[in-house]
Amino acid sequence: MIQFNNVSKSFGTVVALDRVDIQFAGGLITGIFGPNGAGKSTIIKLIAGINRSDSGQVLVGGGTPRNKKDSVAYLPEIDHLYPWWSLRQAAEFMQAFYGDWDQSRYQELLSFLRLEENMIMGKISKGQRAKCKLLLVLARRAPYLLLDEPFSGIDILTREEIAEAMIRGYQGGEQAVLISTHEIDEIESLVDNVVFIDQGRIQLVGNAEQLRKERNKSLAEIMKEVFRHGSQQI
Amino acid sequence: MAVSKFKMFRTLFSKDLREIRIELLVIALAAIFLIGWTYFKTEDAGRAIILAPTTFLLGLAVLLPVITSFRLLGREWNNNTIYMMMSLPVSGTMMLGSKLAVLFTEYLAGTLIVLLVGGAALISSFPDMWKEIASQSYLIQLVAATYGVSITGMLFIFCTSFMSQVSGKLFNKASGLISFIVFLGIFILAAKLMPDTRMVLNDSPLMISASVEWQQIKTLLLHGLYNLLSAVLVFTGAVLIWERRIEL
Repeated sequence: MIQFNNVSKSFGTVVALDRVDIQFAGGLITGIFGPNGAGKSTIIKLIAGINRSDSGQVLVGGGTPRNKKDSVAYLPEIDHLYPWWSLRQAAEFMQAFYGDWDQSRYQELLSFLRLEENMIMGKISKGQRAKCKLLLVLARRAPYLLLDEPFSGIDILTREEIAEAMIRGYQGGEQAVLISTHEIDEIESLVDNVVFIDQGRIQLVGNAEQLRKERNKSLAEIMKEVFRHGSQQI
Repeated sequence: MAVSKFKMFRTLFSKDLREIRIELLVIALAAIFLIGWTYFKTEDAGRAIILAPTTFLLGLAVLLPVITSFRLLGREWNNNTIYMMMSLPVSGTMMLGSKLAVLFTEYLAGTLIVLLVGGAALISSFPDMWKEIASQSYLIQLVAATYGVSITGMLFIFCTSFMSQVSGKLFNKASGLISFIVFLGIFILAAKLMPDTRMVLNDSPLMISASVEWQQIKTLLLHGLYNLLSAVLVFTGAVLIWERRIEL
């Protein structure tokens, strides 16, 4: 369980999160949707322990994010791997820090994503790098999986592969998966819950299936509606 | 399954060790070729000139780790790899400590390579003089103490470099300028706070029965101790900023 209790975060004069209260339960995939600058990445970074809240409290499995880093698999939006690393070196590096690394899952996803271990990060395409990044987080059996804009700048075919890998990589059970994106179509069918956020405020929270049935609209259409009409809470 | 802290440290250390490979190779090759060339091009007393390239390369071996100290940490931000580093389940002490260990390795390896190559060339050129020097234990101890003090001095510089960089990263604007000011500021402060080791030792019982030579060595060692204490203080400050203030 991840809890945000009245959390606020600003960067200079820009308010990234404004008194956010929300919970992310285990065993569910939650999509965090919103336009650019809405505060999606800030939520993810606070959970990953690389940002600190100005006020309020973030709890990850009952502890502070800083103390729970070994339980969190975090995929940032930007390329964060050393350009001189081969995929094998990157995997070995991760293995050295995370006891939940699953070598058989790594091998399975390596083959599924059609990646080679000798690929050098700085010499492969953006799509391949995105797949490598995803592989490195999905190969872990972490209780919390955070994916920040996993489709950013990726072509449609690779997006489908990544979405498929997410389904294969999802471990169910108690694993909580948070996917932050503004490209809602790609993961519409994947998410159990949705959080719509704009200007640092939660606009709508709910069960994806329930929302679709109630409004007889896709999540993408609901998102447009929410951001057009402003704050709504379920 | 728990992962050992030692394995984590070794992994971080090995990753950064890659950064200094080329520099060490350059120093080693330069030492062999420059000192070797001087050795074979000179004869008899003229070989004293070997001291010139040895001193130059020793300076290089001291300067390069200082430059690396800025690159090693700053590069994490430039390559965005800071996102990975900060999400790792390791403390700031381990993160900065592994980088400190790499810089320490670079300094030791670089200076020892130059000293060994230069020393070998000088010993074979002036065997009698070296026998004379080797017979005076005081000289050997003085050299060892000087080297020890240089190590503590370098540790202080590396820690100051870390401290200045993490301080600079607290600001979005003029980060480089702030780092530079902090770097200079710590040195000025350290120089002002550093007591005169001779004065401190003058009244010490350590000095009363000591010969002039031993007084020199003890003064040096005390200076090294101050360096070490200052390095520990500055390193602790850098770790505190890293753990409590740095965010992305």
